[in-house]
Amino acid sequence: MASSAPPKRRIPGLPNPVLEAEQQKWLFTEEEFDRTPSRIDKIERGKEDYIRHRAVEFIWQVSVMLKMPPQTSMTATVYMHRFLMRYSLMGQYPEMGSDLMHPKVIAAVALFVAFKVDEAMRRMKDFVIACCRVAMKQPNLIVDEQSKDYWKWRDLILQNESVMLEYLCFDLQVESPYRILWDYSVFLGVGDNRALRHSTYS
Amino acid sequence: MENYQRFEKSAEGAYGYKARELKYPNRIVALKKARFNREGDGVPATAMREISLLKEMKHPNIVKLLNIVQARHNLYLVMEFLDMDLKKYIDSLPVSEGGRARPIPNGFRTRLGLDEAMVKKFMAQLLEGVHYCHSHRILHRDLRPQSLLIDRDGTLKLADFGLAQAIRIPLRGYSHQIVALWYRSPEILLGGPQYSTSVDMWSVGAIFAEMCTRQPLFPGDSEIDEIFQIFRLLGTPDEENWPGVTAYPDYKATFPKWKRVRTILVPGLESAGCELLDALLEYDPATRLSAKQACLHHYFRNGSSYYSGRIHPR
Repeated sequence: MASSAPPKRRIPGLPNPVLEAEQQKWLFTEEEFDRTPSRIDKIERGKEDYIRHRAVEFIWQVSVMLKMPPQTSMTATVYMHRFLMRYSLMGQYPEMGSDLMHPKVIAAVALFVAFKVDEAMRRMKDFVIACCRVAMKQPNLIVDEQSKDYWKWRDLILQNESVMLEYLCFDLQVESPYRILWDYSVFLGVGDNRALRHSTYS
Repeated sequence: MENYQRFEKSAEGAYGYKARELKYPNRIVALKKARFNREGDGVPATAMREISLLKEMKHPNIVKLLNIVQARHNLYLVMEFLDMDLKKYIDSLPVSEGGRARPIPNGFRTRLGLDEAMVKKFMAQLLEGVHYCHSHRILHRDLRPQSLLIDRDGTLKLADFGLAQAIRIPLRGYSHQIVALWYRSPEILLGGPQYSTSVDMWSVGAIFAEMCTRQPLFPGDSEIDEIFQIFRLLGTPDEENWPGVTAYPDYKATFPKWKRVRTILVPGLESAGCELLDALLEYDPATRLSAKQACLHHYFRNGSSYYSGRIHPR
Protein backbone atom coordinates (compact mmCIF):
# COMPACT_ATOMS: atom_id res chain seq x y z
CA MET A 1 0.00 0.00 0.00
CA ALA A 2 2.76 2.38 0.93
CA SER A 3 4.27 2.22 -2.53
CA SER A 4 1.08 3.45 -4.18
CA ALA A 5 0.97 6.64 -2.08
CA PRO A 6 1.99 9.73 -4.05
CA PRO A 7 5.56 10.81 -3.45
CA LYS A 8 5.79 13.34 -0.69
CA ARG A 9 6.36 16.81 -1.98
CA ARG A 10 9.38 18.42 -0.49
CA ILE A 11 8.67 21.78 0.99
CA PRO A 12 10.99 24.15 -0.79
CA GLY A 13 13.44 26.11 1.23
CA LEU A 14 16.99 27.12 0.74
CA PRO A 15 18.13 24.00 -1.05
CA ASN A 16 21.77 24.28 -0.26
CA PRO A 17 23.13 23.95 3.28
CA VAL A 18 26.54 25.38 2.37
CA LEU A 19 25.04 28.44 0.78
CA GLU A 20 22.64 28.81 3.65
CA ALA A 21 25.45 28.79 6.20
CA GLU A 22 27.36 31.24 4.06
CA GLN A 23 24.42 33.60 3.83
CA GLN A 24 23.59 33.31 7.51
CA LYS A 25 26.53 35.58 8.23
CA TRP A 26 24.86 38.33 6.28
CA LEU A 27 21.48 38.24 7.97
CA PHE A 28 20.98 40.93 10.56
CA THR A 29 18.55 41.61 13.35
CA GLU A 30 16.61 44.81 13.81
CA GLU A 31 18.93 45.89 16.64
CA GLU A 32 21.95 45.38 14.48
CA PHE A 33 20.45 47.83 12.02
CA ASP A 34 20.75 50.46 14.71
CA ARG A 35 24.46 49.82 14.93
CA THR A 36 25.50 50.04 11.31
CA PRO A 37 28.69 52.01 10.65
CA SER A 38 26.65 54.87 9.27
CA ARG A 39 24.51 55.00 12.41
CA ILE A 40 27.64 55.17 14.53
CA ASP A 41 28.70 58.11 12.39
CA LYS A 42 25.46 59.85 13.38
CA ILE A 43 23.49 59.29 10.21
CA GLU A 44 19.85 58.75 11.07
CA ARG A 45 18.08 55.54 10.21
CA GLY A 46 15.62 57.31 7.95
CA LYS A 47 18.39 58.99 6.04
CA GLU A 48 20.27 55.74 5.54
CA ASP A 49 17.13 53.97 4.37
CA TYR A 50 16.53 56.76 1.90
CA ILE A 51 20.07 56.46 0.56
CA ARG A 52 19.72 52.70 0.19
CA HIS A 53 16.48 53.28 -1.64
CA ARG A 54 18.13 55.72 -4.04
CA ALA A 55 21.01 53.32 -4.62
CA VAL A 56 18.61 50.53 -5.57
CA GLU A 57 16.88 52.91 -7.94
CA PHE A 58 20.21 53.76 -9.51
CA ILE A 59 21.06 50.09 -9.99
CA TRP A 60 17.74 49.36 -11.67
CA GLN A 61 17.94 52.35 -13.97
CA VAL A 62 21.42 51.44 -15.17
CA SER A 63 20.36 47.79 -15.51
CA VAL A 64 17.40 48.66 -17.67
CA MET A 65 19.57 50.83 -19.87
CA LEU A 66 22.02 47.97 -20.39
CA LYS A 67 19.34 45.25 -20.57
CA MET A 68 20.82 43.29 -17.67
CA PRO A 69 19.08 40.11 -16.58
CA PRO A 70 16.95 41.01 -13.53
CA GLN A 71 18.83 38.43 -11.52
CA THR A 72 22.04 40.41 -11.92
CA SER A 73 20.44 43.63 -10.69
CA MET A 74 19.06 41.70 -7.77
CA THR A 75 22.52 40.41 -6.91
CA ALA A 76 23.87 43.94 -7.15
CA THR A 77 21.33 45.27 -4.67
CA VAL A 78 22.26 42.53 -2.25
CA TYR A 79 25.93 43.50 -2.56
CA MET A 80 25.04 47.14 -1.97
CA HIS A 81 23.04 46.37 1.18
CA ARG A 82 25.72 44.10 2.55
CA PHE A 83 28.38 46.67 1.84
CA LEU A 84 26.53 49.32 3.80
CA MET A 85 26.41 47.02 6.80
CA ARG A 86 30.17 47.33 7.02
CA TYR A 87 30.94 50.67 5.47
CA SER A 88 29.89 54.05 6.74
CA LEU A 89 28.36 56.56 4.41
CA MET A 90 30.57 59.09 6.09
CA GLY A 91 33.58 57.08 4.97
CA GLN A 92 35.70 56.86 8.07
CA TYR A 93 38.22 54.57 6.52
CA PRO A 94 40.90 56.71 4.91
CA GLU A 95 43.39 53.88 5.29
CA MET A 96 41.46 52.06 2.59
CA GLY A 97 42.76 54.58 0.13
CA SER A 98 39.41 56.08 -0.72
CA ASP A 99 37.66 58.36 1.67
CA LEU A 100 34.08 59.10 0.94
CA MET A 101 32.23 56.86 -1.41
CA HIS A 102 29.16 58.42 -2.86
CA PRO A 103 26.02 56.23 -2.74
CA LYS A 104 25.79 56.36 -6.51
CA VAL A 105 29.34 55.08 -6.75
CA ILE A 106 28.54 52.30 -4.29
CA ALA A 107 25.59 51.32 -6.44
CA ALA A 108 27.63 51.43 -9.63
CA VAL A 109 30.45 49.34 -8.17
CA ALA A 110 27.98 46.79 -6.80
CA LEU A 111 26.47 46.40 -10.24
CA PHE A 112 29.90 46.23 -11.82
CA VAL A 113 30.88 43.34 -9.55
CA ALA A 114 27.52 41.64 -10.00
CA PHE A 115 27.58 41.49 -13.76
CA LYS A 116 31.10 40.15 -13.76
CA VAL A 117 30.23 37.37 -11.34
CA ASP A 118 26.98 36.63 -13.12
CA GLU A 119 28.54 36.27 -16.54
CA ALA A 120 26.41 39.03 -17.96
CA MET A 121 29.41 40.91 -19.26
CA ARG A 122 28.94 44.41 -20.56
CA ARG A 123 31.61 46.55 -22.07
CA MET A 124 33.29 48.87 -19.60
CA LYS A 125 32.63 51.79 -21.93
CA ASP A 126 28.89 51.13 -22.18
CA PHE A 127 28.65 50.66 -18.46
CA VAL A 128 30.43 53.91 -17.64
CA ILE A 129 28.31 55.83 -20.13
CA ALA A 130 25.11 54.38 -18.67
CA CYS A 131 26.26 55.40 -15.18
CA CYS A 132 26.95 58.95 -16.36
CA ARG A 133 23.54 59.20 -18.00
CA VAL A 134 21.65 57.94 -14.98
CA ALA A 135 23.68 60.08 -12.59
CA MET A 136 22.96 63.19 -14.64
CA LYS A 137 19.32 62.16 -15.10
CA GLN A 138 19.66 62.64 -18.84
CA PRO A 139 18.97 59.31 -20.53
CA ASN A 140 20.05 60.52 -23.96
CA LEU A 141 23.12 62.42 -22.88
CA ILE A 142 25.98 62.06 -25.30
CA VAL A 143 29.00 61.14 -23.24
CA ASP A 144 32.32 61.66 -24.84
CA GLU A 145 34.97 59.10 -24.01
CA GLN A 146 37.47 61.85 -23.43
CA SER A 147 35.27 63.92 -21.17
CA LYS A 148 36.01 64.59 -17.54
CA ASP A 149 32.84 62.91 -16.34
CA TYR A 150 33.58 59.73 -18.19
CA TRP A 151 37.05 59.40 -16.67
CA LYS A 152 35.87 60.38 -13.23
CA TRP A 153 33.30 57.59 -13.22
CA ARG A 154 35.63 55.06 -14.72
CA ASP A 155 38.38 55.71 -12.20
CA LEU A 156 35.96 55.71 -9.29
CA ILE A 157 34.54 52.36 -10.31
CA LEU A 158 37.92 50.72 -10.80
CA GLN A 159 39.41 52.20 -7.65
CA ASN A 160 36.57 51.15 -5.45
CA GLU A 161 36.03 47.70 -6.86
CA SER A 162 38.69 46.09 -4.72
CA VAL A 163 37.44 47.98 -1.67
CA MET A 164 34.00 46.58 -2.27
CA LEU A 165 35.33 43.06 -2.77
CA GLU A 166 37.25 43.22 0.46
CA TYR A 167 34.30 44.54 2.44
CA LEU A 168 32.09 41.84 1.00
CA CYS A 169 34.74 39.29 2.03
CA PHE A 170 34.48 37.84 -1.46
CA ASP A 171 31.12 36.33 -0.50
CA LEU A 172 29.81 36.83 -3.97
CA GLN A 173 27.55 33.84 -4.41
CA VAL A 174 24.05 34.92 -3.62
CA GLU A 175 20.93 32.80 -3.77
CA SER A 176 18.65 34.35 -6.31
CA PRO A 177 15.11 35.10 -5.21
CA TYR A 178 14.02 33.70 -8.55
CA ARG A 179 15.20 30.29 -7.53
CA ILE A 180 13.01 30.35 -4.46
CA LEU A 181 10.14 31.59 -6.59
CA TRP A 182 10.74 28.79 -9.05
CA ASP A 183 10.92 26.14 -6.33
CA TYR A 184 7.60 27.29 -4.98
CA SER A 185 5.93 27.42 -8.36
CA VAL A 186 7.02 23.83 -8.95
CA PHE A 187 5.84 22.93 -5.47
CA LEU A 188 2.43 24.43 -6.15
CA GLY A 189 2.29 22.71 -9.52
CA VAL A 190 2.22 25.86 -11.63
CA GLY A 191 5.78 25.63 -12.94
CA ASP A 192 4.52 25.14 -16.49
CA ASN A 193 2.29 28.18 -16.50
CA ARG A 194 4.19 30.40 -18.88
CA ALA A 195 2.17 33.55 -18.41
CA LEU A 196 2.44 33.36 -14.66
CA ARG A 197 6.13 32.69 -14.87
CA HIS A 198 6.73 35.73 -17.01
CA SER A 199 4.78 38.03 -14.78
CA THR A 200 6.60 36.85 -11.67
CA TYR A 201 10.03 37.12 -13.21
CA SER A 202 9.62 40.61 -14.54
CA MET B 1 52.49 39.81 0.41
CA GLU B 2 55.59 40.25 2.55
CA ASN B 3 54.51 37.17 4.49
CA TYR B 4 55.29 34.96 1.55
CA GLN B 5 58.60 34.17 0.05
CA ARG B 6 58.60 33.11 -3.51
CA PHE B 7 61.17 30.46 -4.27
CA GLU B 8 60.34 28.56 -7.33
CA LYS B 9 58.28 29.31 -10.32
CA SER B 10 56.21 26.34 -11.29
CA ALA B 11 56.89 25.08 -14.75
CA GLU B 12 53.56 26.15 -16.09
CA GLY B 13 51.19 28.91 -15.23
CA ALA B 14 48.41 26.60 -14.15
CA TYR B 15 48.80 27.19 -10.48
CA GLY B 16 51.23 30.02 -10.30
CA TYR B 17 54.13 30.23 -7.95
CA LYS B 18 55.38 27.95 -5.27
CA ALA B 19 56.01 29.97 -2.15
CA ARG B 20 56.91 29.55 1.44
CA GLU B 21 54.95 31.21 4.16
CA LEU B 22 57.35 33.08 6.40
CA LYS B 23 55.27 32.74 9.52
CA TYR B 24 55.13 29.00 9.18
CA PRO B 25 58.34 28.12 7.36
CA ASN B 26 57.29 24.55 6.85
CA ARG B 27 54.13 25.36 5.06
CA ILE B 28 54.52 25.53 1.34
CA VAL B 29 51.72 27.16 -0.59
CA ALA B 30 50.91 27.94 -4.16
CA LEU B 31 50.33 31.53 -5.15
CA LYS B 32 48.13 32.27 -8.08
CA LYS B 33 48.34 35.77 -9.38
CA ALA B 34 45.42 37.65 -10.84
CA ARG B 35 46.36 40.98 -12.34
CA PHE B 36 44.15 43.99 -11.88
CA ASN B 37 43.61 45.40 -15.26
CA ARG B 38 43.31 49.13 -14.71
CA GLU B 39 43.02 49.80 -18.41
CA GLY B 40 40.19 47.38 -18.96
CA ASP B 41 37.87 45.61 -16.62
CA GLY B 42 39.42 45.79 -13.19
CA VAL B 43 39.58 42.60 -11.16
CA PRO B 44 39.26 39.66 -13.56
CA ALA B 45 35.88 38.01 -13.40
CA THR B 46 37.51 34.59 -13.39
CA ALA B 47 39.41 35.39 -10.19
CA MET B 48 36.28 36.70 -8.53
CA ARG B 49 34.34 33.57 -9.33
CA GLU B 50 37.17 31.27 -8.40
CA ILE B 51 37.53 32.89 -4.99
CA SER B 52 33.86 33.07 -4.16
CA LEU B 53 33.26 29.46 -5.15
CA LEU B 54 36.38 27.95 -3.63
CA LYS B 55 35.60 29.74 -0.38
CA GLU B 56 32.44 27.72 0.01
CA MET B 57 33.88 24.36 -0.78
CA LYS B 58 35.43 21.99 1.64
CA HIS B 59 36.19 18.55 0.34
CA PRO B 60 39.28 16.33 0.38
CA ASN B 61 39.27 16.21 -3.41
CA ILE B 62 39.01 19.94 -4.00
CA VAL B 63 41.96 22.24 -3.68
CA LYS B 64 41.84 24.48 -0.61
CA LEU B 65 41.95 28.24 -0.77
CA LEU B 66 43.96 29.40 2.22
CA ASN B 67 44.08 33.14 1.87
CA ILE B 68 43.60 36.07 -0.43
CA VAL B 69 46.17 38.83 -0.55
CA GLN B 70 45.61 42.16 -2.21
CA ALA B 71 48.87 43.72 -3.23
CA ARG B 72 49.18 46.94 -5.15
CA HIS B 73 48.22 45.88 -8.62
CA ASN B 74 47.68 42.22 -8.12
CA LEU B 75 45.45 39.88 -6.31
CA TYR B 76 47.02 36.70 -5.04
CA LEU B 77 45.16 33.52 -4.30
CA VAL B 78 47.01 31.49 -1.71
CA MET B 79 46.25 27.83 -2.17
CA GLU B 80 47.53 24.57 -0.89
CA PHE B 81 50.46 23.33 -2.89
CA LEU B 82 50.30 20.10 -4.85
CA ASP B 83 53.26 18.75 -6.68
CA MET B 84 51.90 18.11 -10.13
CA ASP B 85 48.87 17.80 -12.33
CA LEU B 86 47.46 14.74 -14.01
CA LYS B 87 48.87 15.73 -17.39
CA LYS B 88 52.41 15.83 -16.06
CA TYR B 89 51.76 12.71 -14.06
CA ILE B 90 50.87 10.79 -17.21
CA ASP B 91 53.87 12.26 -19.04
CA SER B 92 56.20 11.18 -16.27
CA LEU B 93 55.32 7.52 -16.62
CA PRO B 94 58.08 5.37 -18.08
CA VAL B 95 57.87 4.72 -21.79
CA SER B 96 57.10 1.06 -21.16
CA GLU B 97 53.88 2.17 -19.47
CA GLY B 98 52.89 4.50 -22.24
CA GLY B 99 54.33 7.69 -20.80
CA ARG B 100 57.15 9.89 -21.97
CA ALA B 101 59.45 9.35 -18.99
CA ARG B 102 59.53 13.05 -18.14
CA PRO B 103 61.36 13.80 -14.90
CA ILE B 104 59.23 14.01 -11.80
CA PRO B 105 59.53 16.71 -9.14
CA ASN B 106 61.77 16.03 -6.18
CA GLY B 107 58.84 15.59 -3.85
CA PHE B 108 57.86 12.31 -5.42
CA ARG B 109 59.95 9.71 -3.70
CA THR B 110 58.26 6.75 -5.22
CA ARG B 111 56.60 6.28 -8.52
CA LEU B 112 53.00 5.41 -7.99
CA GLY B 113 52.48 4.34 -11.55
CA LEU B 114 49.12 4.32 -13.24
CA ASP B 115 47.95 0.75 -13.28
CA GLU B 116 44.33 -0.26 -13.19
CA ALA B 117 44.05 0.09 -9.42
CA MET B 118 45.54 3.59 -9.58
CA VAL B 119 43.18 4.62 -12.40
CA LYS B 120 40.32 3.40 -10.29
CA LYS B 121 41.57 5.37 -7.33
CA PHE B 122 41.90 8.56 -9.37
CA MET B 123 38.49 8.03 -10.96
CA ALA B 124 36.86 7.52 -7.57
CA GLN B 125 38.44 10.71 -6.24
CA LEU B 126 37.61 12.68 -9.37
CA LEU B 127 33.99 11.56 -9.31
CA GLU B 128 33.59 12.32 -5.63
CA GLY B 129 35.02 15.78 -6.15
CA VAL B 130 32.73 16.42 -9.09
CA HIS B 131 29.78 15.02 -7.19
CA TYR B 132 30.53 17.45 -4.36
CA CYS B 133 30.61 20.37 -6.77
CA HIS B 134 27.39 19.37 -8.48
CA SER B 135 25.57 18.76 -5.22
CA HIS B 136 26.58 22.30 -4.28
CA ARG B 137 25.11 23.51 -7.56
CA ILE B 138 28.50 24.37 -9.00
CA LEU B 139 29.56 23.55 -12.53
CA HIS B 140 33.31 23.24 -12.93
CA ARG B 141 33.28 23.67 -16.71
CA ASP B 142 37.01 23.27 -17.11
CA LEU B 143 37.78 19.67 -16.28
CA ARG B 144 40.91 18.50 -18.05
CA PRO B 145 44.04 16.68 -16.88
CA GLN B 146 45.84 20.00 -16.34
CA SER B 147 43.24 21.16 -13.84
CA LEU B 148 43.46 18.02 -11.71
CA LEU B 149 46.28 18.28 -9.22
CA ILE B 150 47.99 15.30 -7.64
CA ASP B 151 50.08 15.18 -4.50
CA ARG B 152 52.82 12.78 -3.58
CA ASP B 153 50.44 10.37 -1.87
CA GLY B 154 48.35 10.00 -4.97
CA THR B 155 45.52 12.24 -3.84
CA LEU B 156 43.76 13.95 -6.66
CA LYS B 157 42.19 17.38 -6.24
CA LEU B 158 40.09 19.53 -8.51
CA ALA B 159 41.54 22.98 -9.13
CA ASP B 160 41.18 25.85 -11.59
CA PHE B 161 37.72 27.07 -10.78
CA GLY B 162 38.22 30.16 -12.93
CA LEU B 163 35.52 29.05 -15.34
CA ALA B 164 33.24 27.53 -12.73
CA GLN B 165 29.78 28.92 -12.29
CA ALA B 166 26.96 28.41 -9.87
CA ILE B 167 23.88 27.01 -11.56
CA ARG B 168 21.08 29.48 -11.36
CA ILE B 169 17.43 29.09 -11.96
CA PRO B 170 15.93 30.08 -14.32
CA LEU B 171 18.59 28.47 -16.45
CA ARG B 172 19.94 30.83 -18.98
CA GLY B 173 22.43 30.46 -21.72
CA TYR B 174 25.91 30.73 -20.38
CA SER B 175 29.08 31.26 -22.28
CA HIS B 176 30.15 28.66 -24.82
CA GLN B 177 33.80 29.43 -24.56
CA ILE B 178 34.23 26.89 -21.83
CA VAL B 179 36.04 23.62 -21.36
CA ALA B 180 39.23 22.89 -23.27
CA LEU B 181 38.32 21.68 -26.74
CA TRP B 182 39.39 18.05 -26.25
CA TYR B 183 37.10 17.66 -23.25
CA ARG B 184 34.15 19.63 -24.55
CA SER B 185 30.87 17.78 -24.75
CA PRO B 186 28.91 17.43 -28.00
CA GLU B 187 25.97 19.53 -26.79
CA ILE B 188 28.28 22.54 -26.39
CA LEU B 189 30.03 21.83 -29.67
CA LEU B 190 26.68 21.78 -31.43
CA GLY B 191 25.85 25.18 -29.94
CA GLY B 192 23.20 24.08 -27.47
CA PRO B 193 21.66 27.09 -25.73
CA GLN B 194 21.67 25.54 -22.30
CA TYR B 195 23.82 23.04 -20.60
CA SER B 196 24.15 21.61 -17.16
CA THR B 197 26.13 19.25 -14.97
CA SER B 198 26.36 16.73 -17.80
CA VAL B 199 29.08 18.81 -19.51
CA ASP B 200 31.40 18.00 -16.64
CA MET B 201 30.56 14.32 -16.87
CA TRP B 202 31.57 14.19 -20.53
CA SER B 203 34.95 15.66 -19.56
CA VAL B 204 35.27 13.03 -16.83
CA GLY B 205 34.67 10.32 -19.43
CA ALA B 206 37.32 11.74 -21.76
CA ILE B 207 39.78 11.98 -18.86
CA PHE B 208 38.99 8.40 -17.84
CA ALA B 209 39.88 7.12 -21.30
CA GLU B 210 43.03 9.26 -21.32
CA MET B 211 44.17 7.79 -18.03
CA CYS B 212 43.78 4.28 -19.41
CA THR B 213 45.39 4.80 -22.80
CA ARG B 214 47.71 7.72 -21.88
CA GLN B 215 46.44 9.44 -25.01
CA PRO B 216 43.73 12.07 -25.30
CA LEU B 217 40.60 10.46 -26.62
CA PHE B 218 39.43 13.24 -28.96
CA PRO B 219 42.44 15.45 -29.78
CA GLY B 220 40.63 17.72 -32.22
CA ASP B 221 42.38 20.78 -33.59
CA SER B 222 39.26 22.81 -34.29
CA GLU B 223 35.62 22.68 -33.28
CA ILE B 224 34.55 20.87 -36.41
CA ASP B 225 37.46 18.44 -36.21
CA GLU B 226 36.54 17.78 -32.59
CA ILE B 227 32.93 17.03 -33.53
CA PHE B 228 34.03 14.70 -36.31
CA GLN B 229 36.52 12.87 -34.12
CA ILE B 230 33.74 12.19 -31.64
CA PHE B 231 31.32 11.11 -34.37
CA ARG B 232 33.89 8.88 -36.03
CA LEU B 233 34.51 7.01 -32.81
CA LEU B 234 31.01 6.89 -31.35
CA GLY B 235 28.95 7.09 -34.52
CA THR B 236 27.04 10.13 -35.74
CA PRO B 237 24.15 10.74 -33.35
CA ASP B 238 20.60 10.69 -34.67
CA GLU B 239 17.16 11.27 -33.21
CA GLU B 240 17.17 7.72 -31.94
CA ASN B 241 20.14 7.83 -29.58
CA TRP B 242 19.90 11.56 -28.90
CA PRO B 243 16.35 12.92 -29.10
CA GLY B 244 16.42 16.53 -30.21
CA VAL B 245 19.90 16.52 -31.68
CA THR B 246 18.72 17.78 -35.07
CA ALA B 247 17.32 20.89 -33.42
CA TYR B 248 20.72 22.07 -32.19
CA PRO B 249 21.84 25.32 -33.84
CA ASP B 250 25.05 23.91 -35.26
CA TYR B 251 23.68 20.53 -36.30
CA LYS B 252 23.90 20.00 -40.03
CA ALA B 253 21.94 17.41 -41.91
CA THR B 254 25.01 17.10 -44.11
CA PHE B 255 27.20 15.66 -41.37
CA PRO B 256 28.76 12.41 -42.59
CA LYS B 257 26.92 9.43 -41.16
CA TRP B 258 29.51 7.38 -39.38
CA LYS B 259 28.63 4.12 -37.75
CA ARG B 260 30.19 3.17 -34.50
CA VAL B 261 32.78 0.52 -35.32
CA ARG B 262 34.76 -0.05 -32.19
CA THR B 263 32.48 -1.27 -29.48
CA ILE B 264 35.25 -1.22 -26.91
CA LEU B 265 36.82 2.22 -26.70
CA VAL B 266 39.66 1.30 -24.41
CA PRO B 267 41.15 -2.11 -25.05
CA GLY B 268 42.26 -3.96 -21.97
CA LEU B 269 39.90 -2.19 -19.59
CA GLU B 270 37.72 -4.40 -17.47
CA SER B 271 34.16 -4.70 -18.71
CA ALA B 272 32.63 -2.71 -15.85
CA GLY B 273 35.03 0.11 -16.69
CA CYS B 274 33.97 0.04 -20.33
CA GLU B 275 30.35 0.26 -19.26
CA LEU B 276 31.13 3.25 -17.07
CA LEU B 277 33.00 4.94 -19.89
CA ASP B 278 30.16 4.36 -22.32
CA ALA B 279 27.68 5.75 -19.84
CA LEU B 280 29.82 8.88 -19.35
CA LEU B 281 30.22 9.39 -23.09
CA GLU B 282 26.50 9.04 -23.68
CA TYR B 283 25.31 11.47 -26.36
CA ASP B 284 22.04 12.56 -24.81
CA PRO B 285 22.88 14.92 -21.91
CA ALA B 286 19.64 13.96 -20.21
CA THR B 287 20.57 10.30 -19.93
CA ARG B 288 24.30 10.73 -19.42
CA LEU B 289 25.43 9.29 -16.12
CA SER B 290 25.44 11.78 -13.24
CA ALA B 291 28.30 12.04 -10.79
CA LYS B 292 26.16 10.51 -8.09
CA GLN B 293 25.21 7.53 -10.23
CA ALA B 294 28.82 7.14 -11.34
CA CYS B 295 29.99 6.93 -7.72
CA LEU B 296 27.58 4.01 -7.29
CA HIS B 297 28.56 2.31 -10.53
CA HIS B 298 29.63 -1.30 -10.19
CA TYR B 299 33.04 -0.40 -11.57
CA PHE B 300 33.61 0.57 -7.95
CA ARG B 301 32.63 -2.78 -6.57
CA ASN B 302 33.10 -1.82 -2.94
CA GLY B 303 31.71 1.69 -3.28
CA SER B 304 33.71 4.66 -4.52
CA SER B 305 34.86 5.72 -1.07
CA TYR B 306 36.68 2.42 -0.74
CA TYR B 307 38.87 3.24 -3.72
CA SER B 308 39.25 6.96 -3.21
CA GLY B 309 41.23 6.31 -0.07
CA ARG B 310 38.75 7.92 2.26
CA ILE B 311 38.20 4.62 3.99
CA HIS B 312 41.45 2.74 4.21
CA PRO B 313 41.18 -0.94 3.38
CA ARG B 314 42.19 -3.04 6.34
